[in-house]
Amino acid sequence: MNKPDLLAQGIQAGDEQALARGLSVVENREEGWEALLERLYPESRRGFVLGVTGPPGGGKSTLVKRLVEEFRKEGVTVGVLAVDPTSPFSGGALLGDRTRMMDLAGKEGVFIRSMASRGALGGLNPGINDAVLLMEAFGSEVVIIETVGVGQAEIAITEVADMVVVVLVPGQGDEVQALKGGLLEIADLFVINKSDRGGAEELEIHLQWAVAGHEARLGRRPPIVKTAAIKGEGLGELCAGLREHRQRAAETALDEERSRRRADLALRAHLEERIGAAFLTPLLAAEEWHEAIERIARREISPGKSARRLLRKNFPDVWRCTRED
Amino acid sequence: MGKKIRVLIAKPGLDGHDRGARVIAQALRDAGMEVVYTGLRRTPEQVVSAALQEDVDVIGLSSLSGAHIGLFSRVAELLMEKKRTDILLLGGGIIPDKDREVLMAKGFDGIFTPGTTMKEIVTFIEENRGTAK
Repeated sequence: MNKPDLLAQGIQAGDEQALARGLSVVENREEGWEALLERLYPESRRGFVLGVTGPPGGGKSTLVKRLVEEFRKEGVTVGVLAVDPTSPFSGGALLGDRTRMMDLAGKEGVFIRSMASRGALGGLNPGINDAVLLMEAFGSEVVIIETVGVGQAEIAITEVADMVVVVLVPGQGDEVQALKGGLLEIADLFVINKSDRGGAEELEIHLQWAVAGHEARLGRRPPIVKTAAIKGEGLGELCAGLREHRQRAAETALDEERSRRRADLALRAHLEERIGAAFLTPLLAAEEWHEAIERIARREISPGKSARRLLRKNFPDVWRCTRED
Repeated sequence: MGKKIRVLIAKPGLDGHDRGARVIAQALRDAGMEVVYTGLRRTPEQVVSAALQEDVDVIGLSSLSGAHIGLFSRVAELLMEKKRTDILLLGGGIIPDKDREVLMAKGFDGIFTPGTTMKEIVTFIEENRGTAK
């Protein structure tokens, strides 16, 4: 048997080390990564993918730890993918989410993997969909994705997760912040964490105003739950909110809609990766690329014109399709 | 996307001084590695379990309390049990010379004490990772 087959078999048999290795193989695009995904795809059962996102320092990791504990009480197996940012300067990363979750290390039915964002925008890792698939094949009934600490517009999580929890904390801005588009529009449920601090009530009122405006579009009002994750407060209410969402999603067409959205993203990601590797990567290494950069930097040619020239010279078929005339 | 060196930095045992471990974690990040930092007061079992799930190439343990022989040795034993001696196992902190030899005999690949430069550690990792024992 070849390596992808062995890995696939191990993952499906629930072998932790096979999953750990498999996650590296797909993340690094090591030899056999496509064969591994092909082997696992048709046989993997769909898990419930829960996205947890919000600004840095809001307590996402601690909340995820608490949620894992709650799921385990019910005997549900959980996989966690915790994403932290890659340094744009060194390409390295400090993956610290696990620090808050170490009580879970070695516990049965829990698999935690830290991932660096590796240049992806939107707060996730470029191979996040593939990682989710591996965890599903391994048998994780719930996969929790913790995004990079995000600002206002990083909403890629909506394309991967079945449900998105946005974690906010009191004291991070006035009511105008709560009215802005982006992050606050993607929540299926809001958590006001560290709610034992001052300002939680004001934040709740601002959020209620904001979500009332979303109701017409969504057909529902995302619930707002107050927690203090370190103390374990508010978890019962949060879990009830998750259950309610899952139930409604199963009863309505929401599940199918999310499945389609996830399929859309996965297909696009695979296409873009291949197109990038075939067209862009060789060009980025070419001499004419560097010449173009120099000329644009000196303002001798506009970026748009330079792009058209590169296209015309290197990919005339594509250039003909994109001409404006 | 390409392979990055993955490192787990952990502090087993009860000592509460993790400045050194954090400085190392940052230096390895700046050298382009992906560093999983697990924080203070971990058991050897937690450290090994995390290292295996994270599929790291390197484990770096820090101890300043004097309990390094017991705690570090246990990590080495657990890795042996799991047949994962391919993982580069490093220790650092206040470790007397006579203990260094004990730990190296237990399966450690390197022991770094005060005075070691960051560059030495980075170079050691780059040159020695993935060399199965």
